[in-house]
Amino acid sequence: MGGALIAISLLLGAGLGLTVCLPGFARTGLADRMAFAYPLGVAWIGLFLYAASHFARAPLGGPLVFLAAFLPLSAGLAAAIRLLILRRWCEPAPRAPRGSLQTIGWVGLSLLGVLISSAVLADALTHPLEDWDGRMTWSAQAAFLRDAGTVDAEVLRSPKSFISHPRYPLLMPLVQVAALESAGSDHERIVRVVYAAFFPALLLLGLAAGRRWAGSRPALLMTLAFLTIPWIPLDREGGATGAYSDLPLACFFGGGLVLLLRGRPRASDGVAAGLLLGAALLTKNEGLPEALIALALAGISAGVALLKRRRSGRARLLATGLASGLSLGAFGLLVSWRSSIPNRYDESYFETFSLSSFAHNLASTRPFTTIPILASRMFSTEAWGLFWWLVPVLFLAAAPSLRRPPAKLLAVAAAVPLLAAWSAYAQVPTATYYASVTWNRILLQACVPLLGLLALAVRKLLTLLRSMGSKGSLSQSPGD
Amino acid sequence: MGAGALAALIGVGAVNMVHRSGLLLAEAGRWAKLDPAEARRRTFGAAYTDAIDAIRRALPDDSWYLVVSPESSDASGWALWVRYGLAPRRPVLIQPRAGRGLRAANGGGVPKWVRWAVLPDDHGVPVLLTREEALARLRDHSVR
Repeated sequence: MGGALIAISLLLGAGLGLTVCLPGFARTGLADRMAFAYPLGVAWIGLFLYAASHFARAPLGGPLVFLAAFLPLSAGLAAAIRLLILRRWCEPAPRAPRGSLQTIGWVGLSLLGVLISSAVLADALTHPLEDWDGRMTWSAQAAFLRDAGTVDAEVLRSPKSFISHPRYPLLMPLVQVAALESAGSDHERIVRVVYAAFFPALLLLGLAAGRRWAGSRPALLMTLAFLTIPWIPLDREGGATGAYSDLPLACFFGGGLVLLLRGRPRASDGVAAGLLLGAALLTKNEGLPEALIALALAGISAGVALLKRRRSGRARLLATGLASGLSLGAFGLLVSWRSSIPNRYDESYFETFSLSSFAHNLASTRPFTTIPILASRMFSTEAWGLFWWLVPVLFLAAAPSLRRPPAKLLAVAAAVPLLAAWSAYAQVPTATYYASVTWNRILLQACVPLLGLLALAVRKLLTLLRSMGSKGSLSQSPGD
Repeated sequence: MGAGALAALIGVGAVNMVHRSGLLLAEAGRWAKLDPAEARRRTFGAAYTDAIDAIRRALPDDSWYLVVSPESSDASGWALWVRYGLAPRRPVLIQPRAGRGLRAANGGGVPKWVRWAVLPDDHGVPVLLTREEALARLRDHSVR
């Protein structure tokens, strides 16, 4: 338990240090700051270790891990002291007073969030790692890297060695190494807690996204709806009780998107988004198209703002440019690291890829054979509760207008992971098998923009209810 | 209609999640009394866990070993779980070829410089053998 606490403190502390250093977070409240702190801390430490080990040949071990954490921690501490001395610590903007019903809602949300997060963390602290991908790929790779003391481990480069997916990006295994080194332990429970902590981070990130895009009350209701999904916190094969990389990827992609789609982002938002999107493309192969679409959407919104001569145009362009630069650096690192690793024990999507066969397969009936599987996954009450049964009803009643900027951008961002999966299903002969083991995880990757859309729908619903209420009271008033 | 759907989603879902989280917490409370080794025995079986621990003690961290999957597709994941259990020891996957000896799973012959091999016994429990013992046993199996 002590080791897990040290590991989480290291990752969270590094992220909090970054949120204090980066002025874009100056006016955010504690919940919003915490939403970004954990993903940012994980992203920073993973990227630092990856780059230092590959480019500088620095040995992966305790000293390098503590150096990685020391930099943002000390910078954050210095920035906090400076702000306190200069009395420039910005308090978050005061909130409008809440009604009693809303207060009950926030208390309920807090209690439910804490209960589910505690259950996930308690499971991580008491059970061994049992899931398939965690043991097959991510945690096995972490053990090889830690033993070799480098990301360029001989075992990855030797064509004879039995390594599943040896060219998969290794940010999360490096974070496992950092957690174990900081705790001075070999215990897999520490690793499990690192993954479990992404659930409260995603919860807070969803809440922060909902507040920014739709306001406080819709965010509250949307987050309560999100907490009714059992699969994300409780499933071992992809959820927070396993060691799959999809939950971290959802936080990196979603966090980067939230920062870049701010009304008027600061340059430091671009830096934070760049760290998160760089981490996304070093976490899973799917991270690359997701980072690209987040940057493309931010670029388009900057272009539109510039064309309309809005004051936010240049700020958006600068933030997008900084995020693109950092993501490009991360992509360069990935390409350089991969170049000396022979592929084996992998589906070899990229090696066998050709545009003509891709287009041919995409137009075939093969991906359509997965539709019953996709439906059975989404309508499983064991996995998703009533979420996919009732959310479509909500959208039918109050679909957000796609003419308004965040809705259109969020719809595209949410569609990209789903379309990427659909086109991948078209390429493999065993499409239904792949759909059965990946679809829930693809939905998880897209969940921050999906939750943003849900928050916008809830906002519209509340507006409709208010206008119906006022019409009702007007129509009653003559007779009163 | 939309408000009803949202209310039903949150109301029914929250009760369900309180129930399921409570079950998970109660189970974690029971498992908290177990030490990590005992928790692994309960999860993966005592024979399997003890065998993995014994092989870990016998093989140095930087050693290579041959691992033989009980079936060609390894649908059960046996070789994957053995690899994870023995990491960072370095595995070379071996597959029997029907009537034509053995080969490394990704092509080529069985590397001669690897001294140790891990095979499943009849109950799927991993057994550590020398390379020669393992190859002889696999040939016997393929002849039968």
